Amino acid sequence: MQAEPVIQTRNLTKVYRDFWGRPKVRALNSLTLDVRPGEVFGLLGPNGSGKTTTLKLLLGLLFPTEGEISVLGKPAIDVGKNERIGYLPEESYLYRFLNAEETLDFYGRLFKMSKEQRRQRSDELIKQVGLDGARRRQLKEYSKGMTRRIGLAQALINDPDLVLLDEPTSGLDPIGTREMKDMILRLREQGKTVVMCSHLLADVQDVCDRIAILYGGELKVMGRVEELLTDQGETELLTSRLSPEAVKDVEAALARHGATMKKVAHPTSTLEELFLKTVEESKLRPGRRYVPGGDGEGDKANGDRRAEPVKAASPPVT
Amino acid sequence: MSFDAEAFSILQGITHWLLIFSAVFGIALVVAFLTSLVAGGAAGPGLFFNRLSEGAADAASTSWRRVWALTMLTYKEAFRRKALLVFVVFALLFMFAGWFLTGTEQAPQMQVKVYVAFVLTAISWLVLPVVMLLACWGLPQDIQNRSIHTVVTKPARRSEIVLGRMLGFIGIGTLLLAVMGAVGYVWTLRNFPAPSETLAFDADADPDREETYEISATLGTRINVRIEGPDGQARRFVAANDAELASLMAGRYPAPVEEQARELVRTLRERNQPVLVSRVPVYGSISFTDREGNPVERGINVGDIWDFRSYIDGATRASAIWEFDGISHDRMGDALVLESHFEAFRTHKGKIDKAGLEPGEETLTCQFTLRNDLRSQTARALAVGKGFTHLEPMIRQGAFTPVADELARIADGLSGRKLTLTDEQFDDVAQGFQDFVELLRPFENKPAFSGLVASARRAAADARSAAEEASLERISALPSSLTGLSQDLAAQSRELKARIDEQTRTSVSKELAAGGKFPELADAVAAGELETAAAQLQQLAENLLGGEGTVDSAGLAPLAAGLNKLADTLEGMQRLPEADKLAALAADCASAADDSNPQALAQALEALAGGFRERAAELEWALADLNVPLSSFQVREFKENLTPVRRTIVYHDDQLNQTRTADLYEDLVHGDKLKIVAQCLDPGQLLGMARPDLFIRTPDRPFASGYFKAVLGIWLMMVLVVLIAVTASTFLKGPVATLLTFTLLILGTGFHPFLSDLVKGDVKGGGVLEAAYRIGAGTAPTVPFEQSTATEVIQTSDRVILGGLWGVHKIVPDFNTFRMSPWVANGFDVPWSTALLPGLATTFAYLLPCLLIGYFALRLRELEAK
Ligand SMILES: Nc1ncnc2c1ncn2[C@@H]1O[C@H](COP(=O)(O)OP(=O)(O)OP(=O)(O)O)[C@@H](O)[C@H]1O
Ligand SMILES: [Mg+2]
Repeated sequence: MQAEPVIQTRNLTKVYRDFWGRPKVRALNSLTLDVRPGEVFGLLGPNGSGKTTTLKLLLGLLFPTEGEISVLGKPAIDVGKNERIGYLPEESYLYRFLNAEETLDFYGRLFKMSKEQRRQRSDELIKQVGLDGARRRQLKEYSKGMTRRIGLAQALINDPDLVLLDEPTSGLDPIGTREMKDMILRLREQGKTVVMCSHLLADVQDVCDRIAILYGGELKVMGRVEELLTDQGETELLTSRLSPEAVKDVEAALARHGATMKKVAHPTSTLEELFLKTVEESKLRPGRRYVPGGDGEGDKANGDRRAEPVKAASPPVT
Repeated sequence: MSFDAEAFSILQGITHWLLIFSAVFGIALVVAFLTSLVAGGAAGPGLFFNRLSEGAADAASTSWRRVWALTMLTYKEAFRRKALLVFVVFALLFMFAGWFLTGTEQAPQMQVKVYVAFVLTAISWLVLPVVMLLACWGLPQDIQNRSIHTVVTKPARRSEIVLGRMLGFIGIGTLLLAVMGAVGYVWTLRNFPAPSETLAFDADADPDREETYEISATLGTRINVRIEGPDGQARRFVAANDAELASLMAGRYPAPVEEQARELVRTLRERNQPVLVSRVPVYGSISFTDREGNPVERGINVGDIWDFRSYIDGATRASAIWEFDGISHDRMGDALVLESHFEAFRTHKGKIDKAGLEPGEETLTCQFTLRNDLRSQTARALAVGKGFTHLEPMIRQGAFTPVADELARIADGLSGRKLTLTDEQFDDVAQGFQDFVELLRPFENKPAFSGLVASARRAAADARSAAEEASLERISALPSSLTGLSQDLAAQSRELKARIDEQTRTSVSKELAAGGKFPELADAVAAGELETAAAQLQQLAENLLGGEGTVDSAGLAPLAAGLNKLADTLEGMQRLPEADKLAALAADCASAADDSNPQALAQALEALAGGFRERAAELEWALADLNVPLSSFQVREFKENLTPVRRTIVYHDDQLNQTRTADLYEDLVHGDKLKIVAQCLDPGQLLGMARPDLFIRTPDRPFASGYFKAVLGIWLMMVLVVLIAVTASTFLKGPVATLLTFTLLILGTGFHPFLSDLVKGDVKGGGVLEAAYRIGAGTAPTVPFEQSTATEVIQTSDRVILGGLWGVHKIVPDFNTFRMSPWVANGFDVPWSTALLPGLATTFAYLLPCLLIGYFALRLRELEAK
C-alpha cells in the first residue's frame, strides 16, 4: 500500500492576468502530479516553463485559475500547513538589513520555537551552510552564493517535513553545489520530502528519485529517473575492456540471436539527452502532454512512463 | 476655536460607530458576495463563505509572538534605514527657532502661546510625515522585493503581518514623539523659567554681629524655597501654597528669616504671574435676561457680524446668567476663582484712568451675583403640568400652605372625576414632581440645631395649650420647658446671632410683643441679643413658678406664636431635615402621574399637600431665594479678569438693607450647581458675553499636564495615520498609498468642517447641481427654487450626491479632533471629556475596520509585484 502523497495536484492551471483581468500568460496547463513522502522530486523544464509558478501555487502564494491542490493533506492556502514546510525562493528574498543571526532568529519566531531552541538551531544551521565567519554581517553585504546559503538555512529553520527548493544550486560554487546535494540527500535520509527545481541536470540526476519535465506549462515526462533513462527496446552492455576480436565474437553471437550491434560506447549522462529530446519533441509536436495512468492515481508501482516511447534520435555522446 | 466644546458621550459614540460600521461592513459583504457569484458562478458562495470562515480562524489563531516578531522587524528596518535622521532636522529647527519666534516686548502669555504652538506644530509636522511615509512604503516594498514570500510561507497569518506592521510603525512614531516631546518640553521650560529670586538677609539686629541667610524662592506650579543658614547648611521647602510653606518652615529658622522668605514669595508672585500653567476651567451654561429682567434667549446684538457674543445693557436689569455643574468643596477647595473675558461695546467714552487701571483703559464695571433661586426653581419644577400652572406664583411667593390647599383641591378633583388629565399632562406632572425630588436631594439632614428646635417646639406647644386650655397643669409645665429653651438658646446664641438675619428676628420679636406682655424679650430678640433673651425667658419661667407674674391666655398666645416662629426659623437652619420624606411624597406623585392613574395621583397629591401644610414654614425658609453680590470690578478687555470668591461671603442685602453672611457651599451651591449672574453697572455701556467667557478656574495643574496631553493628542493622530497608511499599503503601491493617506489627512483636516456644514444643510443655495443651475439661470441663492420636473430631477440628484457626501463625511476621520495644542498654547489643561476622549474614540473607531480591510486585502490578493 502506497503512503498518502505529500503533494497532490489535479488539473492545475494558472493563467496570469493583467491589471484589467485579461489573460496574459497561461503559465501552467492542467498539471496533475503526486509527490510521495520521503522522495526527492525534481521539476525540470526550460526557462519560463512554469516550475516556479508550480511551487508558488503549492505554497499558496498564487491562486490557481483551475484545478485542485493538496499539500500535506491541506489546501494550499491554509497557513497552518506552513508549520511543516520549508521554502527556498528562486532568489533569496530576505531582509537585507538583518544579519545572519537576526534573520534566522526572526524566521524562528514565526514558528513555535523558544529562544533557546532558536539560538541552538540557527547556530547549527549557520555552521552547516558555512556562514560561521559572516554571521554578524548584514545580508546586504553578502555575495550571491552567501545569500543562497542563508536562504537555505532560513528554509530549514523549522526542521520541515517538506522542503521546496527553487533552483537550490544556482549561484553556488562547485563545493557549495556538492554540499547542497549532500544536504538534500541527508534530508532524504531523515525521511523528509524534497521538491526541487533545477536546470543543472547532473545535480538532478544525482539526487532525485523522480522527476517531471515541464514545457510551456505542460507536463511532458514524469517518472523514476533510472526508469526514464532505460530504453526497453535496447540493451546496453557494460563490460571490462574488450579487444577488437572479442567485439567481433560478441557481434557474431548477437547475430545468431537476430540482434544487431548498434553502437559500442561508454555509458553517458543520459538525463541531459532525455531532457533535450523531450524539449525537442515538444517543439515538434506541441500539445501532447503526459497524463498519469487512467486509474487517476497515475502511478503504477513500478513507476511512470514517458509520454510516448521515444526512439533515440541523436547519436550517442561520447 | 472654542475651549468648551460639547462633552463627548462615549455611549453615543459607540452607537454611532456600530451603525456606520455595520452599514459599511454589510454593504461590503453584499458586494463581495455578488462579486463571488459573478466570478465563481455556482461555486462562488461556497468560496465566499470559506474565505470568511478562514478569516475568523486566522483571527482566532493570532499569535502575539509572531506579531511581536514582525513588529520588531519593522522597527529594525526603520532604524537601519536611518529614518531617525529626522531627529537631526528637529534639533536644527530648535537650535535656530528661538531667533525667529517672538521678541521680548510682547506679553508673556502671548510669547508662551507662540512658543508652545511652535513646539507642538513642529513635532507633529516632523513626526507625522516620517511615520506616514514609512508606513505607506513598508509593505509595498516588502511585496515588491518579495521578502514577504519568505514570511507568508511561514505560519504567519496575514492579519499578523498587518498588525505587526502597524505596531512597528506606531512604536517608531512613539519613540520619535517621546524624544521630541521631552526635548520640546525642556526647551519651553528653559525659555520661560519660573520666576525666581535670591537675596541675602541679615537676621541679627546687632550691626556688629553678622548672621547672613541666603534665601531663594522659585514660583513654579509649586512654591520652592531654599534657605542657607550662616553655617552653610541649606534646606529646601516645596509647598503647594503659602499656608503649607509656612507650616513647613515653622520653627526651623528665626522668625524674621521665615517672615522674609514668605515676603519674598509674596513679592515675587505680585511681580510675575507664572505663565506656564495648565488652567482647568469649569464651564457652565448661559442664559440672558433683558432690560426688564425677563428671561430671553440672547442678549442685545450690537451689529457685530460675528454673533458669538451677545450684549447686556449697563445699569439695567439685563444680565447674563451662568449655571455651573459639579461644584463641590472636594473639587474646588475653599475658594473659587472666576475667570472672565468680556468684550465691551461703548456708547460713550466713559471714565478714564481710574485707580488700578492702566492708562487708556476706560472704566467698565461688572458685577457678579451668586444666586440660589430655589423657590423659583421649585415653582418652575412644579408648574410644568398644564393643570398646575397657577401654583407657580404661589410657590414663588413662598406661600406653601395655599399650595397645599391647591394640591388637595386638585386631588379632590381627580378622585371625584371632576378633573381629567390627558396623558401628556400626566407626563408633565410626573416630570414636575421628579424635578422637585431632585431639588430636595441636597437637603439631607444636617442636625446642628435639632435639640434647640425640639425645646423651642416644646415650649411653644406648652405655651399654646396653656393659652388655649387655660389649664393649670399646662401652665405649670411651661416654666420648665422655658428653662430648657433658655439654656439651649444661651449655649448657641453666638452662632445663632450670626445666622439669623434681622428680618427673622424682627418678625419673631413682633410676635412676642403682640400681646404687649413681653416687651423686653421682644427687644432682646429684635436686637439679636439672644443671651439676654435667654435670660428673659429664664426670668419669665421663674416668675411663672413663683406665681409672681400674672399670665393670662391673651398673653400666652403671642408667646406661643413667637416661639413657634423661632422654632420654624431654627428648623430652617437645618435646611429641611427629613427632606427625603417630602421628596418621597413628591416621587409618589410623579410615579402615579407616570402611570396615568388619577386615583393614585389624587392620593399622592393629598399626601404631599399634607406634607406641605405641615412644613410650610420650613419650606419657606429653606427654599428662599438668595442673591449674594460679589464686589464689582473693572473689566480689563482682552485680558483675563480674575474674581476670587471666598467660602464665607459677607454681603449687603439691598432688599433688606442689611449686612449678611452666606456660606458658599451651604447656602449658594445647591446640590452641585452654582448660578452666577453678571451685570454691567455703567449706564450706556454694554458688555458682550458668551458661554465660554466666564468659567470657574479650579486649582491650576502643572504645565506638563496640558503639554503632554497635547503630545498624546499628536500620538493618537500618528496612530490613526499609521492605521490608515498600513491599510492603504496592503492594496496599493507606495506612492499611491501615500497619496491616498495624504488626501484623507487633508480631507479630514481642512474639509471636514465644511463637509459637516454641507451635509447638515447649512450651506445656502441648495446642492451642487442646484447651485450650478442657479448660476446658469442667474437666480440668487435665497430665491425659492421653482417647482418643475427639471428642478425636481436636479434636487433629487442633489439629494443623492448629498447622501454620498454624507457617507464620505461619516467615513473620513476628523483629524481636527486631535488638535489639542490650542488648549496648551492658551494656558489651559487639555480636558478629558471634550478633547482626549473624542481623540481616543476616533482612533479606536478605525482600528477594527483598518485591520479588517488590511487583512482581506492581503489575503485575497496574490503577493506578486505587479
Ligand atoms: N508575475 C507574473 N506575471 C505574469 N506572468 C508571469 C509572472 N510570473 C511568471 N510569469 C510567466 O509565467 C511563465 C512561467 O514562469 P515561471 O517563473 O514559472 O517559469 P520557470 O519555469 O520558473 O522559469 P525559470 O527557469 O526561468 O525560473 C513565464 O512565461 C512567465 O513569463
Ligand atoms: Mg523559476
